[in-house]
Amino acid sequence: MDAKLPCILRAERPTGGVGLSKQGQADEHLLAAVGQGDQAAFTELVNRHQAWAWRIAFCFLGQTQSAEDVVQEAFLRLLRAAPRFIPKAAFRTYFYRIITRLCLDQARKKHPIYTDCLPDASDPAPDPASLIMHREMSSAVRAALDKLPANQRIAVVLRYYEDLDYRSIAEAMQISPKAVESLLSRARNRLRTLLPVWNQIFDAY
Amino acid sequence: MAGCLAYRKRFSAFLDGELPPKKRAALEDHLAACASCRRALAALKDLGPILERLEVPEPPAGLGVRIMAEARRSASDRRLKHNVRRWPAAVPDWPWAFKALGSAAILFLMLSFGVFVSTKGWLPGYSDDRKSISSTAGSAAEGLEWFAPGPPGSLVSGYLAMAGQSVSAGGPHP
Repeated sequence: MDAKLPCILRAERPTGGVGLSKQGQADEHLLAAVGQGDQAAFTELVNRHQAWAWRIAFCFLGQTQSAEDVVQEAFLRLLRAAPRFIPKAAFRTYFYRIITRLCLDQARKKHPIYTDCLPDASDPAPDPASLIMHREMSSAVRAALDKLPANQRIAVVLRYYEDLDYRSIAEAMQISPKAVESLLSRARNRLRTLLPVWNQIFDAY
Repeated sequence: MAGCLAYRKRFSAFLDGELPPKKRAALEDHLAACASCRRALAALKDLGPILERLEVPEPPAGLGVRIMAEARRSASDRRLKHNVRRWPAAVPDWPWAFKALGSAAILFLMLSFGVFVSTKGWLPGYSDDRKSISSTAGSAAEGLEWFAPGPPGSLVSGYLAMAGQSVSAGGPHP
């Protein structure tokens, strides 16, 4: 990249020899382009990955603002690391690791978690019984997840809500697959004691 | 029961399809013979559909826009000197010709308005014509009729007297 060119022209020069369109480019190529100052590449990465990044953060934290803070910081960390990114691992694995670390850092701050999914007791509007039951189940799940230790909770989120295998979870959490198995085993036993009634009620709905 | 504990430790990996084939076969053989372990496994298996009932809202509207805005704000971060500082300025993506034309049009309108106003004499004090000054002073003096006369010897009465003299004499004298 010619450093003498003005910024606007630097930004518009095609990177990787693929042309100006970013939609067909692999995530790893886009991240390399971000490291070279390509704004469009960063925009494309944000558009592609903000939804699932948000899902992980919200499932783990249960609070909208905190989840948004985590997602925002995750993309900023990606931006800072882009110049040094070496595509040894897939982009997703790399980004899972960033988000996982931020979620665990947030949990370590030991802020009280104000969940957004609690039913509004003051709402006078009558709901169908199934909708009430659905909301109560959601609240119960939220409360049970919040009672898990942070590392068990993130393992559950990555397994149940991202459908990652043990190897991917291990890479995201930077532990061994055996450690992941142990975390999920303990988490499941704990959740079973926290959600005993719903086993039977769920069968009815 | 001690044997069951060893098998139950593998329930999680079994449910996730992560057990090696030999261990999986051994566990399945045990489950076929142990009702207690079958019940324990079923309770864990039901967790999946229950956990899926967690309500997860869509990402907040404008999340991507705020991420980009924060990325721009962080351009002062020296760690970003190789990337964000190369981004183009956040201006509308108009061709430069339209920008130049727009600026010229605004400048032309401002100059035209200035010329128009000066020819119409709307700006008092911008003309050397004493008559226009005196007429302005006269207008101001006429406006003073709305004020009550001040007490004798006061600044107000003096000014009113002067204004009366300038109207009758045709203009203030330096």
